[in-house]
Amino acid sequence: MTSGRADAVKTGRIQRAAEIGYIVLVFVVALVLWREAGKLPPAPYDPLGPAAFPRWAAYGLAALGVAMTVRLLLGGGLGRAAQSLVSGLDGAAEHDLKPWTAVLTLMLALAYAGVLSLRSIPFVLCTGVYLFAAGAILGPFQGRRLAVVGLFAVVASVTLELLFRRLFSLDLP
Amino acid sequence: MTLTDAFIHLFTMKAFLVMVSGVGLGVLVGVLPGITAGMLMALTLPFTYHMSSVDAITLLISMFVGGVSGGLITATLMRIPGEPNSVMTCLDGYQLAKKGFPGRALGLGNASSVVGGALSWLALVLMAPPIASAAVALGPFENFALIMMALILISSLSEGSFLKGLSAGLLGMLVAFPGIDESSGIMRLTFGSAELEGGFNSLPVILGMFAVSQVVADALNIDEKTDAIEASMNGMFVTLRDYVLHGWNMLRSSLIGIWIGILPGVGATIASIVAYTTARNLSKTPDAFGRGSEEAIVASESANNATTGGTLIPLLTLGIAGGLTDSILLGALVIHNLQPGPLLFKNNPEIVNTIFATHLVAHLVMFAMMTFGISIFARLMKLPKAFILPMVIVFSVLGAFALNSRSFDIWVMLGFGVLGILLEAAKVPLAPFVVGLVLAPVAESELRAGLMASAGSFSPLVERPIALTVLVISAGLFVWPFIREWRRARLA
Repeated sequence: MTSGRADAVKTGRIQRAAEIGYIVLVFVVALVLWREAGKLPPAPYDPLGPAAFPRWAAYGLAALGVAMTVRLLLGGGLGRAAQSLVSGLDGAAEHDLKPWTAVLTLMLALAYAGVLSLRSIPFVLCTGVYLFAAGAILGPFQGRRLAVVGLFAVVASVTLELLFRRLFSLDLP
Repeated sequence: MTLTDAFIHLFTMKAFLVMVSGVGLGVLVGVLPGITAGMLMALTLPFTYHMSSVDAITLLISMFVGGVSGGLITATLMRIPGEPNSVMTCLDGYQLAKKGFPGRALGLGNASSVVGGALSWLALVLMAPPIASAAVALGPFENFALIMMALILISSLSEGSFLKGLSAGLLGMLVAFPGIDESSGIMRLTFGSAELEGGFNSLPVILGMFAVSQVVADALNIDEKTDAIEASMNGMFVTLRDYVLHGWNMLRSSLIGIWIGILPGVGATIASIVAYTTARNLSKTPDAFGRGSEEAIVASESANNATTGGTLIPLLTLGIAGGLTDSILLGALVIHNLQPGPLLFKNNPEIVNTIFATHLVAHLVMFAMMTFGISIFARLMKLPKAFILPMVIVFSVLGAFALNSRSFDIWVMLGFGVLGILLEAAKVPLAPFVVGLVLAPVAESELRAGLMASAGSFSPLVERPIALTVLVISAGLFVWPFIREWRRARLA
């Protein structure tokens, strides 16, 4: 088997696994929605009530889940979005992909949000550290580059603090 | 405020500055790697809370116009579509620039953009008011049917993934359900969480889907290399002869753009592809396409800018958002207590006229900015992603938090960012998700209002001719992808 064909088979398997995962998600959401809608009381003056739309959505999702399962079982694919709203996730890149950089970027964003939510560390410090750390992982670890990233982090975090808290009087996390 | 007043207002100091900032930022995000106009609008939306409705709408429409145009620069100089709709410009703009005519490529693209924008403005101004007048007669059942049609249409256009598109639309709808039910005051789908009692605000959801997902995708592609060509002013100024030479192409491509803009869910990228293909099919030199053809640049850029006016027609007259940036505009109107649809023309003519005036003047400002500021923008496109991407996350966090000053919205944003990445990875179209999210509350309130008026009877849905017609069209749109596939299978 040529390397190109092997890649295509691997991509096909990943795509199928993603589709199965999506169908499972659709069924789970439909089930949860249906159960929760069943707990809602009817509304006194409203013929439809608050449960109708969630229940219809649950039925719709379940029906679509069945249709997608049947298609997969019959050997057909589920197709793909013609237009991607997030570019760069289509796997058609000619360059090397950096999955760990992507994961670290996401982890850092989650950590940044988590620390900000505590509201015990000042915004300016939190943001400065985040900008430096995120900037550092998005390129080679070279002393000069890291110094520039550090300087940018300090200037940007102080500017944001002054701009939003002092000038616009916005409540910052 | 009449249309004339709106034009005059735009030239007051504050409004003009707002508009220039909007266009400038829009062009800038078209140039900056990893940021899109939709992302910029989503990031800006929370901060417009503190602005008047007129200023907020001026800013967002200016960004919308600037964002569609800015992609031309990176498409021509780096062969990267700064915005997805510039993808066809990449093919020929970059080739023409590589031959030593970057100014010519940029000048033609810029001129075509402004012509496309101006023609679509004309379509908007001429078509929107009569459609809105006719739409005033629509009742809740018709409005409900129209929303259902928009959702099915946007899903059916997700070529090859109709089932995924429709399910994504339903998933988006259910995100709008949690919280206090407006009609009955009953709490629903909160799972006992006090934070969910207020429901999901659509803005953090959109920010997560747009901004966070894209930042992670850009980090994945951080090693992407480009061959940048230096910008040059030589040939930037297009002559009258060029307008005559390419006039028919500009007009035809603009009409394609306007028409495709009106259709929900198709968008500027498809418009530029259709216009490009049409121009090549009708060209005397089709072999030149892909090798630096001027006709190709004109077709692509006229069409993508022409969608701006077309898109606004269903949005303003019927309250139907056909795509993602339109959904954000729709969200902006709702946030400012303005209900898009026919009544907007009656109740808030100042907003409608501001949109009309800004749409045209922003195109002219964009033209001047791109003509004289091209070298500055070209320098900015080389800014490292290591600076830009973390800043996008910071602005997303600030934007989500600024809504209600609660950390919960930040987590919602990040959670939907992760969901957006997973859905994109599974090739599930996100546009139906966002359209479902934005339109679900309107669909529900319209149907429930209708049912209260009809004492719980659904019969008006099939007794009222417009509602029935729209439902029949919706049914047709629903079955069409299956018929198309069955026919393809038979032919194969």
